[in-house]
Amino acid sequence: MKELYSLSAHELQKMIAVGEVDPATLLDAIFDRIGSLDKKVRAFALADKTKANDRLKRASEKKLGRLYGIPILVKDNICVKDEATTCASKILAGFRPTYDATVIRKLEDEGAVLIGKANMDEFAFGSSCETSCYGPTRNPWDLERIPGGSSGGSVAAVAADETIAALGSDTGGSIRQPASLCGVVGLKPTYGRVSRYGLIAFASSLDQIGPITKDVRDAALILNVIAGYDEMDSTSVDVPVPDYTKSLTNDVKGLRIGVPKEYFIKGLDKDIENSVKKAIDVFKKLGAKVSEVSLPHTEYAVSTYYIIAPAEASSNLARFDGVGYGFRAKESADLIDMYLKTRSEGFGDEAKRRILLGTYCLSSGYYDAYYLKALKVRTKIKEDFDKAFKDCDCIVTPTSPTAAFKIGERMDDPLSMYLSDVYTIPANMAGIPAISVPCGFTANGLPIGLQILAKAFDEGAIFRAAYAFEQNTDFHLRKPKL
Amino acid sequence: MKYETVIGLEVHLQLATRTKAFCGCSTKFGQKPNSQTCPVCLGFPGSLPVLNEDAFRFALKVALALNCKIQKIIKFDRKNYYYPDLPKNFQISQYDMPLAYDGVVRIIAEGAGKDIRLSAYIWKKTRESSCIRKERITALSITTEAACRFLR
Ligand SMILES: [Zn+2]
Repeated sequence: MKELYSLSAHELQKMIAVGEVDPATLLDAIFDRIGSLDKKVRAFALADKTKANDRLKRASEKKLGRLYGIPILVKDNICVKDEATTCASKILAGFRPTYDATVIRKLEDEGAVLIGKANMDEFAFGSSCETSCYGPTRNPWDLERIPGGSSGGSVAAVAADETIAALGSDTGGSIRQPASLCGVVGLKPTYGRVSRYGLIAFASSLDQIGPITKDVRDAALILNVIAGYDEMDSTSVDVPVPDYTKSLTNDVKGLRIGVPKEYFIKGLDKDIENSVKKAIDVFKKLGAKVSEVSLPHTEYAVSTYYIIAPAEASSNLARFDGVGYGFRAKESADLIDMYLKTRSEGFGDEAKRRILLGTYCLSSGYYDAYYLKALKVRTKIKEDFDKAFKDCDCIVTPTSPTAAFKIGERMDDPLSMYLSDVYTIPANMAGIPAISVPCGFTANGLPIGLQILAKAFDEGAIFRAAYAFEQNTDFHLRKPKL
Repeated sequence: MKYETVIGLEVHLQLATRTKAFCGCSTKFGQKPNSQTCPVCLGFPGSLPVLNEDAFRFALKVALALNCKIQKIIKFDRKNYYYPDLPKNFQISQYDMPLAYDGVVRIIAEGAGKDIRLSAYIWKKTRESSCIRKERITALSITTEAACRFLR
C-alpha cells in the first residue's frame, strides 16, 4: 500500500469517508514526514502539530465537511487567527492576526486541517523563495535549486509530500511558476473568484489566492470550497460557483485551443519548448482543435507589471511603520527616526527595491507618465485576450521559460529574476484564470509545466483541458527522490 | 499692482451614519476610546474596506439636492502620507472622479442671483485625537469652482 502522505486529497477523502483512514493517523504521517524532510526542504515557516491536532478535533466535532481531515498548508501571507503571520518578513515579527482570512474560515468549515504556514519570498516579492527572512526553500527535485516563488514553500511541501495540498497567492505567477518548477498543479483563479479578505496585500489589482495540489481533481475540489462572493471583499464577484469536478470529463473533443505565437521566443529553454509542443500534440490526438492565436502586446507585459505591482506594493506596505504591531526598531530619537529605522531594519533588499520603485512611479509628476500609462498598456494586454478568446476556449503556453535554477544564481541580477514570470504575468494583467500542470522533464530531470488559460470565470474550461491532459499522461505521478 | 479676490470654497460635512465609512463599527459618540474598532478600521494587514451603503445613499441625497450629475463609475483613490494616527498610512478619498459633479447652487449676492458650480467628494475623516474611535467616519467634501469673484 502507498504511504498515506503520498496520496491525493480526493483519494484520502474517499478513504476517510468509508473509515479506511483515520484523519489522526493521516496527520501523524504528515508530521512524521515534515519531521524527517523539512530540515532539507525548508518549506515551512511554521509547523505546529499540537495545534493541528486541536484543529482536527474541532473539525471532528462538527458535521463532517467536504475536506474533512485533509491536511492543508497555508502561505505565510494569509491571516490565521492567533498564528504568527509574517509574510516571511522581519517587519512582521511577532504579528498574530486577530481574525481568520475568509479562505481559512471556508476551509475549516469543510473540515480541512491547517498544519502550518509556508515559507515564501518576503511579501511575495520574488520568483525563487530566496528573499524570505527564514532563508530559502529548496526544490525537492534538486536541493541545490530554487523551488520558484513566491509561493515556494507551499509548492515544495506539496511536491515533497509534506502536505496533501496548500494555498498560495499569485500576483504575477507566484502560484504557477513554482508549481511548474516543482512538478505539481497550481491554479490562479479569476480576479474576484476567491475572496482576498485576510490576504496581506502585495498588489491589490493583481493578487489572487489559489490552490496548489498533487493533481487537477484536487485543485477543483479546493476551488469548490474557497470560491465565491464575500461581503468582506468588494472585489470578489457575485458569480455562481459551479461544481468544478463536473468539468473533469476527460473529453476535449471539439475544445478550441489557441497557441500564442508570441510565447515561443528567444530565452525559452529547448527542453521546455519540446515538452510544450508534445503537450499540444496530446491535445490534438484527443480531438481538440488547435490553432495559432496572437497576443501582440505580450512583450510589454513584464515592464508594465514592474510599474503597476511595485506602485501598489509601495502603498500597501506603508502600514508597516512600527506603530501598531510587528517589529519596531529600538531607541529612536523621534517619530520620523522610528519610521526610518523600523523600515530600514525591518524590510529586506527586494522589498526596499520595490518600495523605492513604486513610490517613484506614484510620485507627483511621474504618476501620469508611469502608473497611469502602465494601466493603459494593461488594458491593451487585456484586449489581446478578449480578442483571442473569440476564437478559442483555452490558451496553452509554457509556464516558465526555464526550469529551476541554482540557489543564488539570479540574486544579484533582479532583471533576469523578473523575466522568470514572462509567461505568467499576462494572466494577472488581464484578470483571467490560469493553471500550471506537469508536462515533462528536462534532460537534467527537472519538472516542466504547461500553462492553460481561459477567459474570466471560465475555470471550468481550464479544468476540462487540464484534466484530460493529466489523464492521458503520467508526469503528475512522478515523485522526487528524497 | 491690483489683485482681484477670487474665492473657492471647500465645505466638509459629516454624514450621520450609524456605522463607519468602510466597516461595520459603530460611530456612537462618547464610548470608551478604541472600543469601537475591528481589523478593517485598525488597518490590520489583510483587511479590506467595504463602502458603507448608508454613506453612499446620504452622499447621493446631498448631491441631488445640489443639482449634481452622478458619476456612472464610483472610484476611490489613496492619499499616501505617514502619520501615527493613520493606521494604513494612506487615506481613502476621491481624487480625480468626485461622486457628483457639475452641481449648482444659486445664491443672492449684491441683489442678484449668482450660480456657484460645485462637486462632491466622499472621503473618510481620520481621527483628530489619538484614538481610533473616530477613524473612518464618512465625510463629504463639497468644493466649488474658484469663481466667487463678486464677494467683497
Ligand atoms: Zn471597524
